[in-house]
Amino acid sequence: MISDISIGQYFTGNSFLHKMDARMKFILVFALLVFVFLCKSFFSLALMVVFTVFAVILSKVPFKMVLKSIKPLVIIILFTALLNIFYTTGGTTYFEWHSLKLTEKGINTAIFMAVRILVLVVISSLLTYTTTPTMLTDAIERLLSPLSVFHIKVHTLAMMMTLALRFIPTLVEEIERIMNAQKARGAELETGGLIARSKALVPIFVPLMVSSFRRAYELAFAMTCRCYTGGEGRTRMKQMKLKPRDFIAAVFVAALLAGVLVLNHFFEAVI
Amino acid sequence: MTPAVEVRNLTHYYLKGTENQVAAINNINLSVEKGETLGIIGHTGSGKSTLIAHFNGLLKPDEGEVLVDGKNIFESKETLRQSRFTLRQSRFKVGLCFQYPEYQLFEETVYKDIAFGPKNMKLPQEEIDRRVLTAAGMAGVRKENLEKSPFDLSGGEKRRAAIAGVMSMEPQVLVLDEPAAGLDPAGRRELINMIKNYRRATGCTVIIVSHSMEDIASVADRVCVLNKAEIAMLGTPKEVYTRDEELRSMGLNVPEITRIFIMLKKRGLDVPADVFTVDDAVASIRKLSERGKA
Ligand SMILES: Nc1ncnc2c1ncn2[C@@H]1O[C@H](COP(=O)(O)OP(=O)(O)OP(=O)(O)O)[C@@H](O)[C@H]1O
Ligand SMILES: [Mg+2]
Repeated sequence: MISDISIGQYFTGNSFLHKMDARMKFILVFALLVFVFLCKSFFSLALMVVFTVFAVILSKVPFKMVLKSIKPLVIIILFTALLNIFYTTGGTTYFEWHSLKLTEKGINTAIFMAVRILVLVVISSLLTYTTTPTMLTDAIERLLSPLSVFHIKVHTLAMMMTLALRFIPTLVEEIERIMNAQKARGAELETGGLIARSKALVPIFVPLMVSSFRRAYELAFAMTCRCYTGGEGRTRMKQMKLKPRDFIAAVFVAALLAGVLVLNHFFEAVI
Repeated sequence: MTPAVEVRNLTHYYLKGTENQVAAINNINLSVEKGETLGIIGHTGSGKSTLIAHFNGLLKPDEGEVLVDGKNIFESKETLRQSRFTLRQSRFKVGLCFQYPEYQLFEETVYKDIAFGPKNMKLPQEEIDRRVLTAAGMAGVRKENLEKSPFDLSGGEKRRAAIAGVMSMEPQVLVLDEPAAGLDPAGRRELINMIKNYRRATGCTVIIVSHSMEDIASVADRVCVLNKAEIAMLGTPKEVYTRDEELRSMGLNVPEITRIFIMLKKRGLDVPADVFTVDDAVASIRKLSERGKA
């Protein structure tokens, strides 16, 4: 149940993607997300799909895991598709009922949108599957470090993100423990209407809040005791270094961009 | 007589289906008689908490069955609910108080928090009030603390309030998981006395998990020793504590005072080896010195 949440889940491995520099991965994933929006025709989108499947195979993350990351979004994807199917009109009309019209263009747009979201989700979940949360925040910190010119505390932001990610499993465990304790006192969590159920959450969330604050204070004390003073003058145990494989990946992604643009140019645009 | 709680061939796995699968408890057979106090001891990670979470159905056994009052609690949804409460008899069957129960407190006042259980049982208001006051008295929650916020209490006071929250449901079987952990010696003693009083006043079955051999010796009728997910010993404190060497090999210790007496005996003094509390020790040394004088 709750422990099935797969946000920021890392899949241990040793593939090409796992070994890439996290900064490069981050930039390339960002670029790929932009490419998905650049796609205009089915052919360029198909190229993206092929690339995505290739990346999944390269990462050696089982397809089952990838499907798991899509599962929570199925409803959103279906909803988007449904909206588009009737919202856009044009081309041959297959079916008409009052103001609802099912047209060729509508169907095409719906499929296009659904595939687009799928590709977006899979690409971004590949990033979290192949990069540990620590590496990811490290990469973000490095990439954002130019912002410190504007007196933005990049290190602090990155540390907050690391800690937040680190505490997700702890909180899930805590919720389960508190739920059990309240069930033992006769709390009914799974029955009743909407109001009864949301009321039943109070005995769970109040102790959860209290212990989260307690934990935050304790963590702050513990960090201070170990002389944590923020990012200034801090060095790293693991230095990030760009390797040949990172440049190979970059070239590959650049070639993909060219492919997308060419296909866009030569084939009819869907949207 | 049907036992209050009985488990048969109980096995529970954590992380089932993964390569890290472990049996936290393995093929446990145990029956707890009505009105008895059972102590459960075992090293850290031996499966004590896992075992007791089965008594009111919070954990589902992977193998074996759990019988409360002679009825298998996993037979249907209804029996599972009844293992926690029987509405008609307005009596909780198995009241479970977790390790570090103070983290379950949530209401605005201690009074309301203790009333949470009885309220869930849908008791009339007068009955709730009566139970809250009785439970608070038995658990040693001071009167002036009842209207305070539970978060303004000290650790020990919170513990008492949380235990009162379970006692107020007046369960037929009260299960306490390390109720004295982290309390000072005076707090421990008071807590043990409180449990004894509770038992005397209500005649209920009490199951208590503890790391302290002294505490268990002074309250329990029988002791169950868990070792590596299995029951290693089961018997009266006397029977169990005389197996000093075996206990030591499981990472447990007999009470300090018992060890002294065992050593004295080895040196040739005529003292009993089944002394578990300081009071008993004082008595038997008195006896010895009187005999010496005579
Ligand atoms: N939620 C869980 N997931 C996986 N393994 C668990 C979980 N809870 C407990 N375990 C494992 O099961 C075993 C028994 O745990 P349990 O909590 O029952 O021990 P215990 O005897 O109560 O220990 P303690 O004296 O420290 O409270 C331990 O080895 C523990 O690592
Ligand atoms: Mg435990």
